Amino acid sequence: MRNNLIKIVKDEGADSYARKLPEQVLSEAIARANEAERTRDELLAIAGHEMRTPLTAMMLHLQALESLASANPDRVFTSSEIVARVQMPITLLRRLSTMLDRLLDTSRIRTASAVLHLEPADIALLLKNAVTRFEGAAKVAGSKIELHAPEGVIAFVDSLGMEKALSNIVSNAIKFGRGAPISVELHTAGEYFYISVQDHGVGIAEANHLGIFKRYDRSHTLDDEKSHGLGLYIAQEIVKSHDGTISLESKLGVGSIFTLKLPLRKLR
Amino acid sequence: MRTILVVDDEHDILLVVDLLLSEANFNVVKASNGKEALARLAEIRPELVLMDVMMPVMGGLDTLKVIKADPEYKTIPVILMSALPPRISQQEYKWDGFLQKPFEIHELMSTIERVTGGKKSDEK
Repeated sequence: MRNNLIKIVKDEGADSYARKLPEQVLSEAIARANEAERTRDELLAIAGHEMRTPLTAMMLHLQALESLASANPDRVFTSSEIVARVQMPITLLRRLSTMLDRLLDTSRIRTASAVLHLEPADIALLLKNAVTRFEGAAKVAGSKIELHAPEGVIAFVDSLGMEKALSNIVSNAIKFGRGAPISVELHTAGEYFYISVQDHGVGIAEANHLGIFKRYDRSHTLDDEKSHGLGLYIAQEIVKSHDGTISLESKLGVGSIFTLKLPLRKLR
Repeated sequence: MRTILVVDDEHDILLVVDLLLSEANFNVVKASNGKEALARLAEIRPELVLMDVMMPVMGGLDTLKVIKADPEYKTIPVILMSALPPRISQQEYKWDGFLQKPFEIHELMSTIERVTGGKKSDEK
């Protein structure tokens, strides 16, 4: 915690702190260090829970194989029998590996979001980066992403975090977009900027609109799609840390619109 | 053949538990959430329910409450499976066994034997 506290004080810069009372500085820094610790604990809890299930399946599968071999010491297994028996543990190991990558990625972003690195960013450029990253995946899914983003919208955001939030929402639109065009739009109104991501895919039942942003929610999944139930939760956490909101309009069989509302210029 | 109802939203768990229990001569009926499990209960009379705690649509604890409140089902033993530590009150939820993930085959088999009164899988 001491290291976190020192890092926060450095990150905030000496000038802003010179204008505040030492007690206030300390109290704010401690509160934010505690928040960073809470975030870390929460991530560890997610990691623990999400990984135990594939670990259980893998453990049981390999033990069953061991029992089979022990019970039949002279039996020679054919190649196809071996392939059939190791296929599931391999699939589970791949899932664990993907999960680990995602959680580590999340950890970096969420730790950063507890101590936001706000800087002026060109929002159209952020959107372009997020969309470009998913062009290949969209093509494979048969979707085309149309980006409508006027230049010159500058806002104070944590660029890394915001790109991650946008990426999660765009990848979600591709997954559930049924190969139809996806539209990403940016506009401003008053002191806010709005980013909307619209797909014409499977849609989400109204009963699941709130739950979709919760951890582990899998109500928005396809039969062949394995979701870790973290993507939209992470996106919402990042947007919330920027004092923004995500809203959802969706209808089953028609599609979904996710709209991010964020302040144009706001320093924490 | 003795029937076990296995309830988990994780396809991998359903698959491997089905494989293991089928090899141990159990008849396995599967459900992927609590709502499906209650529908299966109306169709079959399992000797045991093996159920995950965190599931979409209807979770394990809500399902367990329904089972234990129903005079027709309340005597069916229920084993909970969870990645979380066993802090779920036995007194409140009346579960009969608890397996913390990841668990091993011998833990699964011995818990099944214990809650079904020590019967082996080939006994009627």
